[in-house]
Amino acid sequence: MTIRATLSMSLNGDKPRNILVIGVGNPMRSDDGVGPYVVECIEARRLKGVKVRVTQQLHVEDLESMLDFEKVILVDASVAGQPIDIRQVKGTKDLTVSSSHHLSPAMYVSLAQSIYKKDLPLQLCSVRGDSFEVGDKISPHVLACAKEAVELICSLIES
Amino acid sequence: MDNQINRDNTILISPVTRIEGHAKITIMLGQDGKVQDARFHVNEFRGFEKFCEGRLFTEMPSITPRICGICPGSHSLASVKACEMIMGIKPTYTGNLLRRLVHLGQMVSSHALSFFHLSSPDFILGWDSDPALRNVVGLAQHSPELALKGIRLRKFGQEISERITGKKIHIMGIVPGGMGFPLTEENRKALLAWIPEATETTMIGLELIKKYHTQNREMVNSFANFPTLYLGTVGPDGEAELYDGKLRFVDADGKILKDQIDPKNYLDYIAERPIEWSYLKYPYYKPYGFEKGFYRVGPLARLNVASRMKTAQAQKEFLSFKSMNGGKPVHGTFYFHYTRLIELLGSIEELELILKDPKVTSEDIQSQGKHNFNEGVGSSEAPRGTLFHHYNTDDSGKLTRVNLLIATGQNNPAMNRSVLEVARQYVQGKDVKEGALNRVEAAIRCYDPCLSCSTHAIGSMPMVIEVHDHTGDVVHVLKRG
Repeated sequence: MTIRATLSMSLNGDKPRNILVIGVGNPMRSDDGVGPYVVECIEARRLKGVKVRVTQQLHVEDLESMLDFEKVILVDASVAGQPIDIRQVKGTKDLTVSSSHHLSPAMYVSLAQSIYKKDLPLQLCSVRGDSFEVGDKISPHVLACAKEAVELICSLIES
Repeated sequence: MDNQINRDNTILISPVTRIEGHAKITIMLGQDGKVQDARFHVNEFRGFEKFCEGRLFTEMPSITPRICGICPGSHSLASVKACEMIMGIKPTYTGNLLRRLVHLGQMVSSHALSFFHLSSPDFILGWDSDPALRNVVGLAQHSPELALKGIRLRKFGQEISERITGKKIHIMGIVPGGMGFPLTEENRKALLAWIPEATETTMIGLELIKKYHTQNREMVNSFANFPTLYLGTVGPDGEAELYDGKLRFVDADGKILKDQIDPKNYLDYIAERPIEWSYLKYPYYKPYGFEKGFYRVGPLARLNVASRMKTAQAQKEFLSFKSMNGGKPVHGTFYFHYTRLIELLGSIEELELILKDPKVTSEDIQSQGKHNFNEGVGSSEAPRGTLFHHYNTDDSGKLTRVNLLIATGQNNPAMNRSVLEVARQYVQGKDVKEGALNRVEAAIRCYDPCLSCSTHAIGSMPMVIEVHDHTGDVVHVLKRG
């Protein structure tokens, strides 16, 4: 996972904001790149106290550094569900989806408890994609949803 | 995981969990309920070769790492080597050192992931334990200290890439002629500081697998044990080589069939045949033909072809491994795990040696060149086996043809055979227990295959196992998720 920007504390005089936004996906698999796209848009706004990262997949070793943040927001493409969805991620006992290459967000929350005995304040923003074929273009209507997702996430950060 | 028996005595396992990508296993039962055949299907078509055609060859080292989030360094290295052949240049000494570091770091992180997070839940929690917990989270609940050590070992591997290339996943610093950035003294020291911990964790893994072997000797030796040819990269004296060297094929008895093959001539020795039920082709050793020429690559193959290891502790383990079959190749598929750990140990030792090389922080990291030839071939030993990139260009440098021969493709025939062997051993009739099917999946996991981990959309499913009866109807389906 690569840190794309590091920005300083809030100037509002309150507790410094410390939020991490992670875009997950492969920009060379069409709509799978929507997570990194959203994060690039957020990075361009230079929000104070917000760090952004992009990654192709969620790696187990990235969990430890996530625990340093008051809030972590994952942005990823989904293959089903609402065009845009933001929700709090909870740990789950249903861990039968155990893909090798990445962890599910729920597994992150469960692992944080098992290994570090900490609650991971994790939120997931999913943007439904249509095409996951090889290609570097995001579908137009997915792109529109991505822009909406940027606004929603920024509102969430400001709140 | 949902197991499903269909009307036709066929067992379907899909998705295969804890492997890279999307795949399906079908098991065909005869009238007597015994396993007649089994197949490992790859359902996801990879279109990277076509996607790359028309682009400049110099773009490839930055495009190809995106094929895989687990072994991007191997793709990047094979790609720059192909580009360097097109340009007619060689990397500088320090450029080579830094590339070796990145490659070995990737070997560490990939092997750590494979052993500690994907495979060890089977050994530690048990083959028949609750599938909902037989994974890294279950391991963390059962043995949090071990799980954390595995996580930190993987983190070390990723940190090597991050400190040298600036990125953990999509490595950008590997360029034709060498590297894009020098290694700072601060980063060199930081990486060296990891060596004792990484060595200790690897030794824990080695002891774990050895203990498992001792306690389960019969199972380990009978698990998908069948003779094949083997392919791996070796140095001039036959030493195991991961970054750069020549190719060696050995037969099932360990006889060297062909040695010191220049990777650019790989097509003289390797041919591929498409098969109707999978997107992965069947590669084979050309001189032996399709029927007799199937071979394996990866950690087991590399140690079966090598004459020795390059470092002291790995050599000691290598001799122990070699003694298991009187110096001849070890064919048991389960030994992939053991050999993976020996390679892990050797990689950490080599990392230390390179990090102590005074020239590793030199700024002479890149030679220069331009488009001189219209063809280039590069190879590297990816964690899961030998990888080839082969490019043809027009006179402007645009790619007219791209061929990627990946390790998992080369292991495809052997993975199919392994699935069949294990299914015959553990699956009896339609009433299949989850633990039996987990063993069938585990045969695939031994190879640590990487099929296509390029898409990770939420909701995608990695694997299915199907059981078909003698009429062809599906009688049982097992799904993850």
